[in-house]
Amino acid sequence: MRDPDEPAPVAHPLVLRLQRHSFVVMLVASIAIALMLVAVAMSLYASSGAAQLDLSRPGFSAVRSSVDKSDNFDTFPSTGPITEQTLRDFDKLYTAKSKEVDAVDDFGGDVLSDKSLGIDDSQAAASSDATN
Amino acid sequence: MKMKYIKRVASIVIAGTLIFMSGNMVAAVGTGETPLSDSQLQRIKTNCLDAQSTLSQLHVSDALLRVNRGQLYESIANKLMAPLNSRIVFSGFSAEKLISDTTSYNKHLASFRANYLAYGTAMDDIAKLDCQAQPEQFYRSVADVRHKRNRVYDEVKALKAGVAQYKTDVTDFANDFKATAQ
Repeated sequence: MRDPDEPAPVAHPLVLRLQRHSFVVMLVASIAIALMLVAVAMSLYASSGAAQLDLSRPGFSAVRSSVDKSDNFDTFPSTGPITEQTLRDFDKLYTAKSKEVDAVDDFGGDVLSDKSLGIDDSQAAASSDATN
Repeated sequence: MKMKYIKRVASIVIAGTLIFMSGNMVAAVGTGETPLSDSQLQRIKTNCLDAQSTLSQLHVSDALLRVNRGQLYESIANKLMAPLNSRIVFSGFSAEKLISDTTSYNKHLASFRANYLAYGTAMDDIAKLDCQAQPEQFYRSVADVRHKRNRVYDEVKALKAGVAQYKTDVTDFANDFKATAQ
């Protein structure tokens, strides 16, 4: 309990100013918090890999229509007994999908070689060809 | 006292946000690399805009490939491998080999996602380079992107091997099942 003869504590001038303009302080603080949260969200968007899968980004409009949106992947049921017939059914589904896997050599090829991009040292290559 | 507390909380929040964001930034420093010849630097400056255009087109086609093929690889794990494994286990049979194959496949799938993220980020960065002003930086970045794309390809090969291995082990299981049933 404070002594009645003791002078009342005086608030910091900055605190008094903030109290006088509390509405503006609230607006500024809300905007600052919103900006910080947007920064965190954008950082998560980039770091989680979602950005790489997002074909709605500018520059990817040419391939948006080529995304396979069909839901025709037959799921093998996870309940039920194991019989020769169910194993045959599974083999049929799995063989079809493994053929799809093998049909494309994704991310293969030599498309990023210096020669393909025209940034190799052509003079050095030409002189080594002459030596050979 | 109150002011001190407000300042302390504000500085902790700002510092935390900055640390979180800086954790996602990667500084690439090239050390110990062979310097490029003048002729090569000139060739890079001449051709780099076309090279950047090629890289940009490749990035777009690879993004589509990532989405479509990624869906296929994930569906194989979630809609074929996992249901068969659980069905075999609930029926009282041993699926140890199949579960081991599935675990290995899922690890390669996780690596595929992570490696593609690194590759895609590197491709985004290379598009922002002024290749004519920084030909050597551009050349090093292309080498880095090439290396990262190869790592994605290594995981694709591992996933394809995983799909084949699982099929082999399912066939073995089916043969043993048939033999036991007879």
